[in-house]
Amino acid sequence: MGMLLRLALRNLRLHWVRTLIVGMLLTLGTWLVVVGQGALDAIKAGMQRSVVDTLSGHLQIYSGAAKDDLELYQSAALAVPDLGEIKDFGALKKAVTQIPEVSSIVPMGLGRSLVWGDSPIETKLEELRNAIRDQKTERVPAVVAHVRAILKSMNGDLDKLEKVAANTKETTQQREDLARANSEEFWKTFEATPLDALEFLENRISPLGVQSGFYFFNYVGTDPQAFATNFKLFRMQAGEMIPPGQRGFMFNSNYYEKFVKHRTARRLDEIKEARELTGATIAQDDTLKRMVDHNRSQVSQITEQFDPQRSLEVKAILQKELGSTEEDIGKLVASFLTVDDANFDRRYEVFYKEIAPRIRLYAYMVGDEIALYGQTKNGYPRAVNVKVWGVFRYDGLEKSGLAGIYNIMDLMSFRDLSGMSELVTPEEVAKLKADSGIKALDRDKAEDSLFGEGEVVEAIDNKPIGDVMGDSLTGLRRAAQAAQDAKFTQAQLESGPIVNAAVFLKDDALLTPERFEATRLAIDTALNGNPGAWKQPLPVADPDDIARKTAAGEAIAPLKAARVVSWESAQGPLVAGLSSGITIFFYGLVGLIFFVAFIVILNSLLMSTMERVQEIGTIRAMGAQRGFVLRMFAIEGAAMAVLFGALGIGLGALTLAGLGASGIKASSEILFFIFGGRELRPVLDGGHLAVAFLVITAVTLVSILIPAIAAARIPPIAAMQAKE
Amino acid sequence: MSQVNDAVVALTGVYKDYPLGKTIVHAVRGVDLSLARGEFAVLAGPSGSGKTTVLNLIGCVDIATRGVVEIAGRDTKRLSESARTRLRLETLGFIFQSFNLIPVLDLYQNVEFPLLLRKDVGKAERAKRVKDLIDRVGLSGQMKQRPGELSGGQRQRVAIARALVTRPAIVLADEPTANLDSATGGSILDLMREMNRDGTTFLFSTHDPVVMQAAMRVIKIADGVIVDDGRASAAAKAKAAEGDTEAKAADAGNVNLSTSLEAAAAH
Repeated sequence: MGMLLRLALRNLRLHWVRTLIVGMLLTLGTWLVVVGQGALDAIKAGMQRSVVDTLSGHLQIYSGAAKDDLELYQSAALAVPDLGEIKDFGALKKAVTQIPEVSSIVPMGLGRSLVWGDSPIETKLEELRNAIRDQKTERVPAVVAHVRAILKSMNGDLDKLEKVAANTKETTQQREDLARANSEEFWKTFEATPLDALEFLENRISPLGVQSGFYFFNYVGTDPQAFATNFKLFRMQAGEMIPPGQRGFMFNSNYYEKFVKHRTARRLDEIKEARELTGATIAQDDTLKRMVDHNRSQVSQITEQFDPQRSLEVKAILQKELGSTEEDIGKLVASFLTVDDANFDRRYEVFYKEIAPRIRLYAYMVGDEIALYGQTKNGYPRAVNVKVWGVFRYDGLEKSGLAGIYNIMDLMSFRDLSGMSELVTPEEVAKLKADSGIKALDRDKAEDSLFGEGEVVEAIDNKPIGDVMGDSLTGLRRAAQAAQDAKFTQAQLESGPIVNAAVFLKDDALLTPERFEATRLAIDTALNGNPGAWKQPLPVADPDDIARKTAAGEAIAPLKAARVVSWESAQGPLVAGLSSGITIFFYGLVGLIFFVAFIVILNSLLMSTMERVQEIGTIRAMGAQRGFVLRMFAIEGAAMAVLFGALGIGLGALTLAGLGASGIKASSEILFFIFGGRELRPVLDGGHLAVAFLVITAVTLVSILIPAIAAARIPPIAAMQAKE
Repeated sequence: MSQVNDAVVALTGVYKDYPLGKTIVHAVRGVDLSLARGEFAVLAGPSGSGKTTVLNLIGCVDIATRGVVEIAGRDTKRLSESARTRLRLETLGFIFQSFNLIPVLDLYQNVEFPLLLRKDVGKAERAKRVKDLIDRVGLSGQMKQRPGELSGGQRQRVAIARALVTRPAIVLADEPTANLDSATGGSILDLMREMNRDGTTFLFSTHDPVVMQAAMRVIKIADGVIVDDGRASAAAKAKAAEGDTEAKAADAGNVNLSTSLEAAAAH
């Protein structure tokens, strides 16, 4: 043995170039196994955190009647999946929380709504109404001046509209309305009865405004309190939580910043981020340059928001800031927004200090109302109005677009919007009508006025809405407001239907995959295997589906009242693919390195075997058995494995220790999600070192096998064949 | 001891054919040969005469096509590959034309190597035997040197020490002097003669007349058949003894072999 080792080491030293090349490959491979596994573990934990602690919980439950699989992170497809519904969340909660491993359950429903961005006139009228309501009389004249400026420009908008759709009767009416709004007499009546005048403007003029685009808001309809308590990464960032028993909406900070923020401000933020995170410069980076160009050319997005008073304020500030005597506010702002690397930080600061407070920094601000439009499963349009209470974030994942997909809405509004609830009973409709004194109502307008509760308010006739204008609509608005403000009890929230639910398990159920699966099965059994425990009806089997499956020879799964799936399955293929993609990439890389090592070892040892034919023949002639030759090679391989394996493991452990201490900073949006936070801290694990050692030993021994067998087959007579 | 038992090597009606391309070469055609303990014999013949084949058959690195090859009383054909290997280890020693030392081992380790394959020789005994033999071949000053650092003659001395370290019954040497100049070859020959006096049987192949003269017995082989197996004449013996004395004197007079090697190289 000692001699074999000596022979092996001598051989390694003698063929030091080969040893060095093979050694580098083996060291690199081992290093990669150690570091990669440490990183993969951390990534696995990170992605689990990103999914479990923001959206899925440990398990998801949804109806057995679902036609589609639950995919929390769907691709951008617009089709809303059919997930069925669970009729009674309270009963589900009772059945599930009886299982000792379950810690809590959070009701959910996922949805997506179309939201029209407010037109400038809508925004300003809202500001005017708020000023009147809050009795900020000093602001009123400036806002009025701004409204009148916008009204003047709206003639042009109408011209454009007419070119597209010429409906003479309608447009004549619209022109009359606009002419009235632009008249001096109208504004005299405004001073006398401002609310009435406002009513006219909101109902007749607002719809003529050109809307500033539309948004798709994704949301989780949920019990906000239960959501905030159970999803560990949830934090409030601005405003307040939707109070218990109240309806409302909370923006996800990532979505809010990306899509709701004023474009100019957003671009400035992006420039700042790029400069700080990646060290890009405006002078060098084309993307940043383009952003600056956009900000300069789209200066009206800022100036149109200034009323005359604010326009003067900003002019004074910018003249001083730029040392300019320019009088035109548009040119001043454009010049201010033409930033370069030298003045960026200063301009950014001034923007947020002086300009941002004078514009609507976000299309929807805390306290605003959003009209969300949706469809029931059967295709009936729905709309609800919800108040924006606040903005929340997920700790560490603020920059992750994936974690930023969903905003939060109260469950009651979600049920209304998705048609899960009997919105209003016919009696309530009658009462609503009586309260508001509606005599006749145009269906379309009523929907708007009722903030989406339009479907149940039947159109009585199609008389022009002008006929019922006035205090009747004020009443309607009041009624709608009352419906929106209507509080609900926790019991009402919990006894209603939901689409899905997030289940959180106690720590001991999470210790091993086996325990996790056992708990999932226990819940599945409690819901599906025990008819007394839960009263959710079994879904009705689709005969066509059964026929198709029978024809195709597919197995027909037994019907279940509910599906209970792990977070990994619930996250859907998009995120699961991300996770498996990283794993495949890693193992592919490791496999590639070791394959190259295998080929190099095989090749070089075969060559050296051929060079050593006489030597090996001599050893055999002197009386060494075949096994001795095999062992000679095995020990040479083992020596390489130990030597370079130890080196690779040592370097890997050092790297991991270093990375564990410093952390790998997330440098791109997707990395925040993958890391489950701002940085990744891979952990050294003894098991990984053992695995790495086994892998390198196996690879080396397998690589050495063929040359070793070839060598062992060299006959002793080869010793006699004189080498010239 | 009977006559048969006394023969360490006994070949009876041995044939060896091997394929060469499409034809079959009859390398050995009916050889009968026996070697007694302590013989110092030469297989002589031109290239391709079959002498190396006979040597390989005796060395158990090749198997006869027909006939019986008995080494130390054992029929090599009836042994398994591993038993033949064991027989080589315990009974035979090899000296090769091109020395065949293991380049990565130093002089000492090369000599020690066969003993390490033996389980029955202890560490102390091993060291003693190795040092003793290195001493006897006159290389005790170069124990840490690698084969590459030694001259041809020195290498063959190492090979002789290696062949003898297991105390084999028979040492086979295939053209041991062919790669050496005549002076060095002579001293190697003398060394082998000296070792032969301890009772080790030596058989070597050669086509060098000088080597033949040194042998007690010259077995001439041609076309795979033994054509002459005569004990060397008394005159030849005397001549060989003379050469032996000369070589000894040379060894004693010189610091070592390299001096005479250098002298040879100068010619």
